[in-house]
Amino acid sequence: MTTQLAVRRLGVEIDRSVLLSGIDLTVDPGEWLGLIGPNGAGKTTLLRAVAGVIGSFGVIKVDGDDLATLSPRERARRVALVPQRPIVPPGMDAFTYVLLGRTPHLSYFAAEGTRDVMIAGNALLELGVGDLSHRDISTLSGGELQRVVLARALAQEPEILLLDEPTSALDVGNQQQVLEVIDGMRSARGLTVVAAIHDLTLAAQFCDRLALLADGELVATGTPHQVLTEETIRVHYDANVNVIWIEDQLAVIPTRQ
Amino acid sequence: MATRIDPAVPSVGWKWWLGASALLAAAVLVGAVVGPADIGFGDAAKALISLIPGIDLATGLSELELGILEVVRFPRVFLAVVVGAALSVSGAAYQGVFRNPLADPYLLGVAAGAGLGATLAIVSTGAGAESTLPIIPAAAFVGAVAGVVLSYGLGRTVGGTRTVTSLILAGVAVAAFLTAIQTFVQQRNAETLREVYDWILGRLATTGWADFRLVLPYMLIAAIGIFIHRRALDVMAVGDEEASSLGLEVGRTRLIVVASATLAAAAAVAVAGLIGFVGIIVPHGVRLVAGTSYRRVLPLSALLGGAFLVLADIVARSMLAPAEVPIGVVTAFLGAPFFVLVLRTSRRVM
Repeated sequence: MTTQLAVRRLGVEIDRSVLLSGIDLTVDPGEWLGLIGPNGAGKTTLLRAVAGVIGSFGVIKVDGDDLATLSPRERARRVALVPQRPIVPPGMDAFTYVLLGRTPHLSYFAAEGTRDVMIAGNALLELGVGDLSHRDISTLSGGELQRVVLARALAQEPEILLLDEPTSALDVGNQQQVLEVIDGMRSARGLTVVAAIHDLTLAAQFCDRLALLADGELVATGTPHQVLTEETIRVHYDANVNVIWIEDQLAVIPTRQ
Repeated sequence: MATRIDPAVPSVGWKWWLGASALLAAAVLVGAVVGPADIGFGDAAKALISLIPGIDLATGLSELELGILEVVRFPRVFLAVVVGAALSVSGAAYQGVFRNPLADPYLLGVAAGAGLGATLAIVSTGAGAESTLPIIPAAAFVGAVAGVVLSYGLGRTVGGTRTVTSLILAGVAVAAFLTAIQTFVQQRNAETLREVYDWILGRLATTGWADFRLVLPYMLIAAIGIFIHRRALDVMAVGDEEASSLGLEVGRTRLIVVASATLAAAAAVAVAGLIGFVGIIVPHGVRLVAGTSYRRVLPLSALLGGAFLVLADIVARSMLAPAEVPIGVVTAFLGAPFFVLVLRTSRRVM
């Protein structure tokens, strides 16, 4: 099996401070990799570097192609980024917003054609928010907005979907629904997903593998039950937790002393 | 759950095209009719259509009246159209690339640079507003472009990752600096104060088509540079980082759009002086009625900006006729309250 995403010795420095260093990671096609780690560990930085929106050292390969050799448009056709707090332009309707996802598929000056309109419409329908297409996105609820932003990423028709805390602004019901929708997209389209996820229990439930970052370095990778141990979480999060199994699911429960 | 989507790529519908064009045509006609010489709408319309090469409609006008239309009124009205369109479109473009609703063509030192250029030209040559050689326009144009180049260069060197904010702050710094020099030069040459002042307040006084022909090529080039980026400006509404993740070359797009908008604004300033507020109120008015997509805002701002400045000019020259009120005073007088109104009635515009 070929590797969908390969990161070698990746480092990021901004304003002379090292945000990431020596990251080695591989992600298989169709796999869901969860990025976990305490605040400031470098999860967002890693996602931004792979999306190519910030400069980095080292090598990032997408399906064997070095990201540095791809044009911004070629890169955006293969990698889509959903930021944690997307900028919501007031007055823009959801459909126009999702159409923005077609940008890397359009030549520089071209307008969207019928095919682009269909792809954007299908993306909205696939995420169950077709009825919102005319709504001003600045009036949407958190859960609705997250689905519309995911629809934009889907309209990019990427191979790799990068998600930065896709559920951090959502209530528990919406968290589950959005993650299920992402999982559905992944299996329906063979998407590879790399997602920073705060909630360790949800991360364990949805991700095939987890990568634990701390202080800009990769400290552990493996299946959720390999990575999520009480000892690891205590060391890197400075937190006291119980890792318990409920039926066949792992849960991380904070404990109070 | 609804499963049917009525999809639409943002565009100017034919109703908007028709309405805005009709408004512009009406403004042009009123502009041609208002004035000391009594000329009717019908005759003015026929004379207007006769401007198109190859068409020559008979009018009931005397030679003198035709002359007034062709040498005085039409050139002035058409100058107002292109200046108004240029200021409005470049205002909308600046607002788009800087994602700042208060951005306008004068933001990056255009006004201050043009003011300094014009002042230097007036002081050093003694040229007045009626001077036949285009010395003042040329100097104002060079000053405007230099102001923006300075702001842009400064903004990028200190910018780092916060490009937009640093560009705007650099513009403020450069404008303050250039204005200080301009004031100094002006004070040292008090005898030219009136000429400088006249220019700064803006005017569309023109005889013949020379000014119109002078600026039209620049404005057409600028219009192309801006309009081919109308979709890119919609993409930039989601911010530099997301636009970049969507494959847009944000830096290059911003540079081309700013260069084009500066070209248009500098050309407008060169022949008309500093006419404020147009670049803010016209695009905002358009957004209020037609939505925020630049694929609607840009074309409608061009048409309605032209109409707006023609109407402002009519007020400027008829309010205290035969004296003229500087048009910059009129646009500020109308613009400032309108601006407050826009802010009050709509929190959703940008």
